[in-house]
Amino acid sequence: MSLWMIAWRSIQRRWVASLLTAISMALGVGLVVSVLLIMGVVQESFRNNTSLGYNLIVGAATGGRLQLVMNTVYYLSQPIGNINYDVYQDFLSAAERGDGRDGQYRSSVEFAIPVCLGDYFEGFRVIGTTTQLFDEFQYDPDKQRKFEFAQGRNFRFRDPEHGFFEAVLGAQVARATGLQVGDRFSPTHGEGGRQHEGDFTIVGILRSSGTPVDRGVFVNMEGFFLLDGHAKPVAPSAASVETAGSAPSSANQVPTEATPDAATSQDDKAQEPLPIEQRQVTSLLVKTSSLLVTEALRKKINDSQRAQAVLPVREIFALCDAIIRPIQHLLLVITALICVVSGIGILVSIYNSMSDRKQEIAVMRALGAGRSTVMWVVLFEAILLAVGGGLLGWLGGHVVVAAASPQIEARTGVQVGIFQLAPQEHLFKIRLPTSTLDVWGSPELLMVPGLIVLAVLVGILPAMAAYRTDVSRALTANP
Amino acid sequence: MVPVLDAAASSTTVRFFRSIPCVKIPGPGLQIPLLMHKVCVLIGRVGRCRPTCMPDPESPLSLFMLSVTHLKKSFAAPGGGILPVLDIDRFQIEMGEQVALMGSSGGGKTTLLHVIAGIARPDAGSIVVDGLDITQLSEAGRDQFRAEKIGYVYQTFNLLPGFTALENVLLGMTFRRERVDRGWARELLRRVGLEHRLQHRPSTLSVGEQQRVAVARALANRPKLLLADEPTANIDPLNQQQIVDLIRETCDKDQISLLVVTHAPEVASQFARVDRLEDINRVVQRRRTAAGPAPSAGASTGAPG
Repeated sequence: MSLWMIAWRSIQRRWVASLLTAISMALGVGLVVSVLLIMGVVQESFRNNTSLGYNLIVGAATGGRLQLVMNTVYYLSQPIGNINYDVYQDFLSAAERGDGRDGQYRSSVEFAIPVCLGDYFEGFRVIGTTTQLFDEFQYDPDKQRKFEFAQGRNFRFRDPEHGFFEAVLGAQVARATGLQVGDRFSPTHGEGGRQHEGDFTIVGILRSSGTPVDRGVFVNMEGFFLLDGHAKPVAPSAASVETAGSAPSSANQVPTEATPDAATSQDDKAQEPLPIEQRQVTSLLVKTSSLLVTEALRKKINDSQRAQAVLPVREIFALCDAIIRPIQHLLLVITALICVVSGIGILVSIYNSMSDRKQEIAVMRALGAGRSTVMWVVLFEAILLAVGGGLLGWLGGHVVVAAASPQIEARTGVQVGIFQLAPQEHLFKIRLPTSTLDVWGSPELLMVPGLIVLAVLVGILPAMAAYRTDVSRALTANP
Repeated sequence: MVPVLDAAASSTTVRFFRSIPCVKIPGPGLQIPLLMHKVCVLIGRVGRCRPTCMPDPESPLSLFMLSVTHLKKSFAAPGGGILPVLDIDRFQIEMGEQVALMGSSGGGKTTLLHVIAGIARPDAGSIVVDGLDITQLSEAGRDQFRAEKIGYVYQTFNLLPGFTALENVLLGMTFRRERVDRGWARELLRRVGLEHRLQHRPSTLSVGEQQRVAVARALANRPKLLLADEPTANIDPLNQQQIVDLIRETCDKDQISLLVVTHAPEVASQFARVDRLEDINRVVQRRRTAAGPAPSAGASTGAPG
């Protein structure tokens, strides 16, 4: 009969206490697993948004890269500076520019979507952009997913009725403000700043996508430009040329996206687009034509000093490491401490039954078991309780997270399968004489050795008591 | 003693082993086969050769399965000082011999058995079991010795409550070097008449059945020496004789030397050799002389254990 079997029989004999301690260990491990899985979901949703379909963000050369990413990807953080419109134009084709030649970066990119920030509506960011974002852009290129409308439609470049002043609400904004298609609103200049005069008409409400877009108020960039205070002050000479220009110079031509002549019927809607020179955008979402050119393009833009280009993935991973990791580690430490407390529960449970066990241990010793043998039996019992309870908790954690999976997916867009381990991470380094070996794997895999170590640590005390049992005395002291 | 000696000598196995040419090696009466000795000399490991021959018949220890000499054992007294328990000059059991040892409670019977089994260490003296002086062994060595050579039956059975009858018997062979032999465990339980109770836990067995499981467990490692400490004291009279017969017949059949400690005259009277602890343990003798005139031996055996 193996020592494991002997240990198991001992657990069976005290099954109530054993079950309770195993359950407490299961709870601890279940919490660890849940934290790992949920943190995996958070990380994945964080990173999922980096594969939103663009791989480069171009923004003001001044200001931090992280702030640029936070603003552009997450619509968070303090507003940042703008870049000149001609930087945007450098990404456009000859047809879009209307001057007969492609922008200098055109050949390297698939698209560049402008983003104008700085306005707010009821605490939500107002984003001025082009129709491209909802018409063509795929936020999940792998699954070819575009943003979808729950109600209404995309804003138009120039609507016959509303002109440039159409808006689309993210799902969360619509829920929070209760605004409907057809309602009108005026954004404020800066958070809690003064209200703009122009008002936008809501023409569409987006379906929830689990991306920051849910939190955005999207307006036509042309309308955004026309809001008071959004035009860049220009030198009078240039402005006069622009306004007087009957035949606008090709480079300064405003976008001519099927500009309907008839749309100028209403006074307020009859406004002309803001002249090119007065335009500014906050950033550009750029997808390069191939990954090979990304680095070259980034360098080229950065060298031009007119703007900076950042790789959002790199910045987000850095952010993830800077903010999310410490939280994850803190939570892990707390849950691991719960496991340690459960381990102490095992210790107390075994130690309390030691007087009961003394005789059993003495009998085994009398049958020829060595001191170390009975010590191992007690250690094995602790290991069985810890690992058994741990497996129970592991299963429980996965079942709970899997049960909450529809909720999680609805909120984050991340699916969690029942037996999907927490994402792989860099676990530890093994230093070899000639090199270091990095070991990667799911942190969940560390739990089994971790539990065994914990069990041995808590089992040592009763195991030593077993080791020291005075056989002769225990055999004579009959119950 | 003489009839048992004859019985042992006449056994065919003993005669066969006697016929093997042997050489003496250092140790009381120890011998190894001549051929093996030559191999040991050849590989230069004479010291590591185990005595596998029958002991030298000319040696004074030759035919003894158990030989206790100049044994002293004492405990620390609760109020400080030393409380002597055993002082035995010489106590021997021959191969295959069955001995009943009678004594009143507090006479050191259980301590003597513990010392013989290697569970407790004597203060002085030697205990040679099957040619091996266990006082020279380390604790781990004594554990191994016990696992391989000793069977032990207790007054309180000492079955492990969490284990079935079969598992309790298996436990009796778990701690020796050889593999566990389930077939032998079943056979033993069949022999004690419990083949229909293999999967029963001790709590579901009668006391008689429990002690029969304990006997089967004591025999599980095919011991050379079976020690029984008041094996019938906790059993109803109906079953007492059954247990005694079971133990004696098995030992007879398998040539196991038997030492039964008892204070029941009806048990002791069945043995050809009955020793009284007060006759061999000088501690008891001294205590008796200090207490006054010695009572008769028969009266002292009647005391509860």
